[in-house]
Amino acid sequence: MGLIMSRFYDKLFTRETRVLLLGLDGAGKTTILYKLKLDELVTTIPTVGFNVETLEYRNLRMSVWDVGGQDKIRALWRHYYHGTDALIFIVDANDHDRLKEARDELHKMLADEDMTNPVVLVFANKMDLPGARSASVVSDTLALNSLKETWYIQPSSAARGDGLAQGLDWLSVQIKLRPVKKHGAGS
Amino acid sequence: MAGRYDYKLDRNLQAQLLREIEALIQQQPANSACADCSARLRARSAFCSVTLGIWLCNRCYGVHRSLGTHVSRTKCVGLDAFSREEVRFMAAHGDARAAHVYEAAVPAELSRPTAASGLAEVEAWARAKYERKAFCREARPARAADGACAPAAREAPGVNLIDFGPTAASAGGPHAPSDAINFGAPSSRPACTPPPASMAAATPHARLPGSFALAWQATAPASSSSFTHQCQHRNVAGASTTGNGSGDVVLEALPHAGAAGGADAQKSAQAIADVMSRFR
Repeated sequence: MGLIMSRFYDKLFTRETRVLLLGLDGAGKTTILYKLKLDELVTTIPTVGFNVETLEYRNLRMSVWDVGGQDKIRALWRHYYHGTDALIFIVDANDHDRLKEARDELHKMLADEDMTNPVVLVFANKMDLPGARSASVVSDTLALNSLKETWYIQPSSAARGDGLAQGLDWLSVQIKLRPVKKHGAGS
Repeated sequence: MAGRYDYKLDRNLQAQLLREIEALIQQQPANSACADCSARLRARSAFCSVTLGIWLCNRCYGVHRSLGTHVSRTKCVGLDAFSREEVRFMAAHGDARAAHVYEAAVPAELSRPTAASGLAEVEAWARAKYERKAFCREARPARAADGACAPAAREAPGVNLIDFGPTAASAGGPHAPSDAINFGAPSSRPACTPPPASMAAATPHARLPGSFALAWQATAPASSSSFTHQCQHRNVAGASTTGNGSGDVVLEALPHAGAAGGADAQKSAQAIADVMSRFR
């Protein structure tokens, strides 16, 4: 009986969540999206525009927007900010030269007025590669401590499927703790 | 960040660099084909690796992204901002020069992937070619960005230029005494005759006998087994996406694929894996 009730409760209170998947080009956004959606490792072509998929995890129903990260299409990111509940920021931990560039992009987007206090999950991705920096180094370089948003950094490897579930676990707990946002038009 | 000059936001510079890149692709015949699969490239939709100095098609760009930035850092023409240095590097290198270095010693039984090749084949090829540097002559490039095997050859101390002969090479290995002259079995080359230094310097890909070749092979085993494993893994992935059956069945079937015919892409991927296993 308790099981039925809890299922009923979950069904009733499944939260619709808008999740934005951002990061520099080649960080693994599309790979992570399809790893989560299909549990398959896809070789991706550059995302020009966006991919959107609905993922169900625990009692979260997430519409996940994965937007291309090339230099010249990063200007389009801001059009997706409105009504974002959670930001998943993906960093290539193996790409040391561009960690600072990632930091600048992250802080720039969180300073945007359309980004209304999302929870921030950072995936330090590509941990399977030999030169990958540890999560603490990535966290320091991205200056996550200076963020006012709730954040969490999770080492991950989309190629192996490591760390993704742990990241989403944290995300689902955080989303449940938050009051429901009133989404305006366009979300 | 505000107020600081950022070349990526410099529109005039970016427009100028884009024109230079288009000229690079259009004017040099070698550059208008993908460095890995020879697919035709159009200047407006080309991709490149700014650390290897090669031009790529859309599909091979995806493969290079999965290699990791320590092997190949990729950019899209038109979507990514370039720096002046990167364009200069691309101009100085290009497909022809990269092929000279990275395809210097492709085993005869291997053929390059074509535009029609499957993803698994291209990926096995790219991993062998750039990650393992299996088709470079003896010396491994010290750094991919140098774009040539030359630095490794130059760094090679005199010991590498002395012919140890087969037995000494296998016994002494790379750390054999440097005053060694010619151990082992009679060699075709007279004792203590290093290849002319001028030749070694002028042609970086000159064959370095004995210990140097062994030194490279000695580094191979640990990673080559994981390479083969990866090859197989990719085959499995390719098979499962096309619904050809489970991975194990495909792997079991591969040795007989030649007799059975068909599955060309898998055969080629397997052929690359076979060649790689010889580097153990």
